[in-house]
Amino acid sequence: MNEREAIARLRNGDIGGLELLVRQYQVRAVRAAYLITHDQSLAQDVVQTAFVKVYERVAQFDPERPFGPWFLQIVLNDAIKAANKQARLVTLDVTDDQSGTIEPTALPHGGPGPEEIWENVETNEEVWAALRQLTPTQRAAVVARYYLGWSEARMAEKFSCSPSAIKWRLYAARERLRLLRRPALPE
Amino acid sequence: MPEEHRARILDDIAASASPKELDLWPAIQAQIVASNPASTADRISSRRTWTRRTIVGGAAVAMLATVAGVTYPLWSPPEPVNAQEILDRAQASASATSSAVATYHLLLTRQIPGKENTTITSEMWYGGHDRQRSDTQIKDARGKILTTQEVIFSGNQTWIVSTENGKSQIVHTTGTTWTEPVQAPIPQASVSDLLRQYASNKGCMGATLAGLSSIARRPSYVIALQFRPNGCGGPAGRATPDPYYPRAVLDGRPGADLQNQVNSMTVWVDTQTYLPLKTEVRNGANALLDQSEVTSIVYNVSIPDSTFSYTPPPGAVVANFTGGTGADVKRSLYGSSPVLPQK
Repeated sequence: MNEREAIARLRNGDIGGLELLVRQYQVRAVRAAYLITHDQSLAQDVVQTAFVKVYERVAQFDPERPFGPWFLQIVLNDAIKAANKQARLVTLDVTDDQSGTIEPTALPHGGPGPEEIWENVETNEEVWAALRQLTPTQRAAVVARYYLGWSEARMAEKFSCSPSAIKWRLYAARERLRLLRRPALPE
Repeated sequence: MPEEHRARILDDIAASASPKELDLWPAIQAQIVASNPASTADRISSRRTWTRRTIVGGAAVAMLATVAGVTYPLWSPPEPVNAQEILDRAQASASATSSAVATYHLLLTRQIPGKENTTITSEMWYGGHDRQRSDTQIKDARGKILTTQEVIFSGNQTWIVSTENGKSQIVHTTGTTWTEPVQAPIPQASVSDLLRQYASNKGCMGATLAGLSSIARRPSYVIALQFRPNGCGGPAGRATPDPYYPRAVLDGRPGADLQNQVNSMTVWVDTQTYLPLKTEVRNGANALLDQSEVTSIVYNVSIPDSTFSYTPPPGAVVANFTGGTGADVKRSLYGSSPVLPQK
């Protein structure tokens, strides 16, 4: 049974179709959720709930479109909500509300590009420490763009906001990462 | 930095925190079935293909689907007792992997609203009949630790260390028969057997399969126990929850005290190992009297030998006993009521 067949069976009410989708996507989904929530148990709960939502909402899914992005979008949204609920992060100057609909009126100029940021990263620990300082929404933007490999256009579609908002979120995340990686200045 | 490298960094970070074996399917399946019993029954009855499956966790539910599809073409959503029968047939018919559990490690929390909101947290290790350990803390409503107790079985040696108000009592027995502090996985043949065991345990309860759920990410049968009138539903001290929680004896007031009178109990049991994972005890007004829940459990985990050994601190006074039973030891120590596990 391939993914297309699994979805067809699920749309026909066969829970067995969901099993293949679980086995195919659970690892990637849990890892993506973990990068946002920073809590393995919470990440697994988020993904478990997301698969249940797939079962309940499969009729809303267009079988002509790829399943992965649709499902992972559910995971990312739920991970953001879960992480916000946990309220683990220090409030940053640049924050989004839970729906992520804040849009800037103008794009900033002159900031460092992503390549420059990542070139400064040397260890996984440094990346992890820096990620922890981002808001869940900013983390989700980083995860979607750099872990799931989504284009900014796809991210705009999936996060239901404009491409400029996506660019802003990514810029804010990258800027925050860059600032956090600067050595502390002497007092 | 190439895109692939960025993705790899993030994947490395996430992978380092992920369990080696991730399997969410049993819990997902149990959750769907538990929340959509009627519609799930309709949907799974449409399957016609028999697939030999080994029973692992929620695969029992999948067996339900195949058996239902083959044997009950006109099957309508079952009453609880019909689901039980179907599960029994599914389990009996499938080629079974033994639900062999050699070891486990769990964390358990118990709350007793009726006893000044006392909370008991336990950590338990099971390494076989003669390798068991249970570490327990009893806390008051403010979280202050009142008592701690460690019970360690190692071969024919038993150590019981109880600490209260900074003072410890250490008991060491050799060849003494104690009730095991940790429950062994039960080799049940079927859910029916499990229900019969609960019903006959006290001779005063009726047991029915109420559904499926998920506790500590384990698919679980939900078993509803109803105490028969004039049966064992007397003062709360008399009707103990399942012996899985060996010191989980409610201290009830003597006499007919309806507030503390146990009327019903619900037990969530791991579908693979039949270990109880959660219990709720309620009185006639459906108020919660006692609740215990496993918050984490890992099966077939490697447990170091040091977990099942104990060395008294230098200068500690140890009460040593040989032979007899736990009750004998307690009588020697206290003359009456128990703090220690007893046979």
